[in-house]
Amino acid sequence: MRLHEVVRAYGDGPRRVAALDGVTVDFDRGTFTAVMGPSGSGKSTLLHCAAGLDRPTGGTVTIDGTDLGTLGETALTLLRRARVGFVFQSYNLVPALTAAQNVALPLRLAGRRPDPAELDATLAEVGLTGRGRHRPDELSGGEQQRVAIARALISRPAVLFADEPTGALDTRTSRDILRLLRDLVDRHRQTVVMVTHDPVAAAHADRVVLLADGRVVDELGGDLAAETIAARMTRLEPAC
Amino acid sequence: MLTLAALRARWTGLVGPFVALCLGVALMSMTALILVSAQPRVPDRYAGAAVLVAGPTVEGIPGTFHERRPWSPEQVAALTGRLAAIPAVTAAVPDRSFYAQAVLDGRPVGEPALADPQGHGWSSAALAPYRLTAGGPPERPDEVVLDQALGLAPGSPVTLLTATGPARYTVAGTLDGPGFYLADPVAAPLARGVRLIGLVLADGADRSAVRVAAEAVVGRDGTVLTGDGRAEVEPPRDVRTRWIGMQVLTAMTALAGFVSIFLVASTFAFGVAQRRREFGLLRAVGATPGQLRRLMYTEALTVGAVGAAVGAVLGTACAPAFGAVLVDAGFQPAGFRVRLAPWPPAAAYLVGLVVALLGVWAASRRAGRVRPLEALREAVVDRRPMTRSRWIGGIVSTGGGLLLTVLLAGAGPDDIVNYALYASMALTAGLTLLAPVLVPPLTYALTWPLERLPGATGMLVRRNALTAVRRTASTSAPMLLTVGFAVLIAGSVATSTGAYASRDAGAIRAGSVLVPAGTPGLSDAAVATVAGTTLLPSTVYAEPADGALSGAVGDAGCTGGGCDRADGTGTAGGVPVVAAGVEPTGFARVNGRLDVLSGDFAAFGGPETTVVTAGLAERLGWSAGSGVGVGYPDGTSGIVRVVAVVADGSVPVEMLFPREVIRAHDPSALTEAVFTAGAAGNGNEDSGTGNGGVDFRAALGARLVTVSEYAAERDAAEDRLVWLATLILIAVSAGYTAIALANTLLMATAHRARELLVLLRSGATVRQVLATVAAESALVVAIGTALGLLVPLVALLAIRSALSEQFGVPVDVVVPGPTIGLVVTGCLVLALAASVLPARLVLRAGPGGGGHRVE
Ligand SMILES: Nc1ncnc2c1ncn2[C@@H]1O[C@H](COP(=O)(O)OP(=O)(O)OP(=O)(O)O)[C@@H](O)[C@H]1O
Ligand SMILES: [Mg+2]
Repeated sequence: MRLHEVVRAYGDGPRRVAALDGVTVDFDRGTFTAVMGPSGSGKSTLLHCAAGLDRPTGGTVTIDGTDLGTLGETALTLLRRARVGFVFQSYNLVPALTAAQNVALPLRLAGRRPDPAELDATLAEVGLTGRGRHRPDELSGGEQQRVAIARALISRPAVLFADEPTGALDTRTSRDILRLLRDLVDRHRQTVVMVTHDPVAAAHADRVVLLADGRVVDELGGDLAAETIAARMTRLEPAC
Repeated sequence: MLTLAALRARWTGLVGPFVALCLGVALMSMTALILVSAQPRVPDRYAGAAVLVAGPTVEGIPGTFHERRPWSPEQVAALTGRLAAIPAVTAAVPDRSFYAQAVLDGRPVGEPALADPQGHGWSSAALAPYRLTAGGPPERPDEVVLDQALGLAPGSPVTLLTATGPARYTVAGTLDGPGFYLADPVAAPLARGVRLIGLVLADGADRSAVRVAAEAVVGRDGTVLTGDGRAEVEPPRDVRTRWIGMQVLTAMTALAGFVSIFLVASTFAFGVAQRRREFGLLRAVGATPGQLRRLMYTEALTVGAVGAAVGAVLGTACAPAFGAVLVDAGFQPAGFRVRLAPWPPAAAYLVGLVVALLGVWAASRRAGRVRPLEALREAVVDRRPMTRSRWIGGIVSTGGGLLLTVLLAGAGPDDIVNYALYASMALTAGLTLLAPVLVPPLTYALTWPLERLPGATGMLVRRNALTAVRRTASTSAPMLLTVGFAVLIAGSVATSTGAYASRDAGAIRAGSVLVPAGTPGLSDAAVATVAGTTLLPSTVYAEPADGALSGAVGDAGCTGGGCDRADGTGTAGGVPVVAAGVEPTGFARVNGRLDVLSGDFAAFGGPETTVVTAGLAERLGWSAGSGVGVGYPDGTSGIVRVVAVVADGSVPVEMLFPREVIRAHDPSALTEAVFTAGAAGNGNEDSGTGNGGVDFRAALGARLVTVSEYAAERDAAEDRLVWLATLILIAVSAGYTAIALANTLLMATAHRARELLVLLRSGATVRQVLATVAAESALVVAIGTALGLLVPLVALLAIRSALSEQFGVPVDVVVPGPTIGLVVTGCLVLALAASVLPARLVLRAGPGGGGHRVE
C-alpha cells in the first residue's frame, strides 16, 4: 500500500491547519512499521487517511492498486471491510455486544455468518479463550484492547493499523500486545502499521517513520534498539 | 443481532416512538371502528312499522340538516285513507307529534330536543315496538300514557308542559319506552304538521308488494321506506350530531397521525445525534451508509410493528367505551353502539407502520452520513449549534409567520381561524429552528439568579444548559409546541367567543331576558309571566320565485320537485327557511342592529307580511314588494308580501313573520326568548318567586337573565361542542408533545450517565446530582414555556385587532390562564419524572459506576 504526496488540511483561510503536508510513504507486505513523532505531528491523521477512514484533501492513497480517492462512500467501506483492520487507542467496542459479538461484527456487517471455530481461534490468538461471552464493561483495559485487535483481524485484512494500541496499558500487557503484533507479521505475513510514542514499542517494528509538522522527517530501519529510537526522538522534539 | 442488541441497549430512545405509535394506532383504530359503526339507525319510535311513508325532502344550504316537509291536513287525510286501503295493511297511522315534557317536583324533567318532540297521539304508539306495562290506553281528554321510567303508576296525577303551558293529566297507563301519548283528538290540535305515515302490516304480508302499492299511492308527494332504508327518517339532529362527531374525530386522528410522524421523526433524529459515536464506530469497523440506514429502518419497523399491534388491540378494546363517551359528549346520537370489525384496526396497523417509516426517513439519512472518524470525537460542547439550513429555515418560517400575522390582523371573520393556525404553525417552526440562538440569552436571563446562590447546583445547571445549547434547544422544543398550541387554541376560542358575546349584547336594547331553563323553549304560559317582546322560531318552506306571483322577479327557475304546486298547497320540496314570529314594533325597539336595506319595516305587521334578509332574498330571487309562496309548518301554504329586506346578521333568523302567524301555523313552536324593559333579579316583585317562596318560573321552565348573560349563553350548546372539540384537540397535541418531552429528556439523561457519574465522583452527593438534574429539567420547561407563549401571544393580539375592527367594539384578549397552568404543571411533572427517575437508576450503582466503565 502506498501514500503519495498526501495532504490533509483542516479549516480554511487564516485558520487553516495542515495536519499532513505532502506525505509520501510505502508500507510493504509483511512489514511492521512504527510511526512516531511529537504530539500533534499528524500521526493519527496519517493512519486515518491510509486506512480510508478519512479522505485526504490532496494526494493519493492506493491499497493493492486501488486509488481510494476514486471510490464512493459505500465502495470505500466495502474495500476497508475486506482489506483494512483498525485498532483505536481507546478500544471503541460496542458496549451492548459481548466480546465475541464485537469480534464477529465486521463479518456480520459483510453479511457472513461467523464460524464459531474461527471466532474461537481468533479469540485464542489474542489470548482471550473463554472470555467471549463477557461484555466490554466486564473486561479490563488490556482485555478490551485484545478484543479490538481480534475484531480488526477477523476479516484477515491486508493491512492492520493500530493507533497507540498500548497507550493505556501497563508495560507487561503492552509487551504481550506487541508480541502478538510481531507474531502476526512473522507468521501470517501480515502488514502492520502502528503509531506509538514509546521507543520500546517501536523497537518491535522493522522500520520507524518519523513525522514532524505533518511531514516525514526521517526513517530508521534495520535492527532497531529502543535507545537509538529514543535518542532520535529527543533530537526531534525541539524541532516543533 | 445488531438490531436486537441495539434495541435492548437503546430502549430509552424507543419508548417515545413506541408510545406515540401505539396511541396513534389506537386512536386510528377507534376512529375507524366508530366511522364504520356510525350508520343511520331506524329510530326506535318507528321500529314497529314495516313500511314508512315520509314527506318530501327539502334542500337546505350544505352543512345544515332539515326535517322533511309536512303534508297539508287534506293530503294527510287523503293519503291515510288510500294507504290504509292497500291489501295487507292493517293500519296507516299519521305520526302526530308535539312538544311535551313532564313537570316533577316543580321542575320540568328530561329536556327533549326541539326537533324531537316527545308528545304523540296514542295511535302513533302502534308504530313503536313499545308495550303497555300497566294500565290502558288514554281514553278521556285528560288521560296520558307515559314512560314507566318516570315512576308514575296508573291513576296518579301528572303535570305536562306543552307549547301552551302546563296542564294536569291523569296517568292512564305506562309504556316500556319514552314519550307522552294523549288521545288522538286531544293530540291533533297540539301537533305540528304530519311528516310521516307508518303502515302496520298483517302477519306474513309481502312487504315489497305493499311498498310498490304505497309508492303508487304517494307518487311524488313523498318517499316509501322499508327495512334499513327506514333509517332515513332519523331526526336531523342525529345526522348533525354524527356529522359533527365525525369532523372532530377526523381532525383528532389527522392531528394524531401528523404529530406521531413529528414525534417519531424528532426522537429518531435526536437519537441519531446522540449516537453519532456509535454510528461512527460501526462505520469504522466496516458498516456501509446503507447498512446504517437499514439499521434505522429496522429499528423503526420493529418498534412500529410492536407498537402498532399493541395500539390496534388497545384501540379495538377501548372502542366501545369510547363510543359511549362520544354519546355522552354529544358527538354521537343517543343509542349509538360500536360494532367491532377486523379490518379497521388492520388498516390502522398498516398506517402505523407507514408513519414509523416516514418518521425515520430523515433520521436514517442523517445516520447514513455519519463518518467513521466521528467515533473518535467527544462532542458535548456544541461549537456550531446553528447550521446554515437551520438559519435559513428559521428565518423564512418566522418571517412568513409574522407576515401571516399582519394579514391576520386585517382578515375577515372566516379567515381568522385559518390565518391564526397557519401563522402559529410557521412561527412555531421558526422558533424551534432558531431555538439554539434564542436559548442562550433566555437561559442567561432565566438562570441569572442561580449562579448567585451559594451551592454548586445553580452553577452546574446554568453552565450545562449554556454549553449544550442544542440539547437544551431540542429538549425544550416539544414544550414550546405544547404550550404554543394549547394557549393558541384555548385563547383564540375564548377571545372570539367573548367578542361575539359582547357584539350580541351590544345590539340588544332590553333590561333583561326571559330564557328557557330545563326546557327547549318557553311555553305561552311562561311568556305571559313577563311583559316584553318575543322571538318564536320555526321553519317555513319557501317556493323559489317562479315569476307567477309578483312579476317583480325574473325567471329564477325551479329546481328539483320544488315547484310542484297544487291548489295552494306546497306538495314537494321547497327551501327550508329559518323563520321567527315577532311583535313588529317591539322587535324594532329591542333590536339595535336592525338595518333595513329596502322596503319599509313599519309596514310589517299584517297577517300577510314578511321581512327577509338580503341573503335569503338573493338566494330565492325575492325583493321588497314581491308576493312569495310560503309553506307553513302545519303543511298549509299561502302567499305573503315581502315588505322589507334587511341586512344579513341584523336579525337572528332569515325571515320574520308576525308572531300570530307562526303561532297559528305551528302549535308546537316554543318561544326562544322574551326581552323585557325591566332589569333582571333586582329582588322586588319581579324576582320570580311567588307566595311561599315557590319559584313559579322554574316550574314553567323559564329564567330571567341579564342581556349579557343571554348573549353569552346563546348557542351555549354549540359553544359546548366547540369547547369539547377544542379540549380534545389540545389534549391530543399536548399529550403527544408531552410524550416527546418526556422521551427526549429520558434519552438525554440516560445518555449523560457518564457525566452524572463524574459529578458523583467529584464529591457530589446523590441528592445534589438529582437536584441538578431536576433543576435542569425545570429550566428546560421554563425555556419552552417562555418561547411557547410568544407564538400565541402574537396570534391572539392579531385576532383581537381583527375582531374589534370588525365588530366596532373593544375586544379583550383572553389569556387562558388555567389552561396554561394545567399544561405547564403537567409537563413539569412529566419532565421531572422522565429525568430524575432514570438519573436515580444510573446513580444507584454508586461512584464506581458499575456497568458504565465503557461509554
Ligand atoms: N478535526 C480537526 N479539526 C482541526 N484540526 C484538527 C482536527 N484533527 C486534527 N487536527 C489537527 O491536526 C494536527 C494533527 O493531529 P493528529 O491527531 O494527527 O496528531 P497526532 O500526531 O496523532 O498527535 P497525538 O500524538 O497527540 O495523538 C493537530 O495539530 C490537530 O490539532
Ligand atoms: Mg494521535
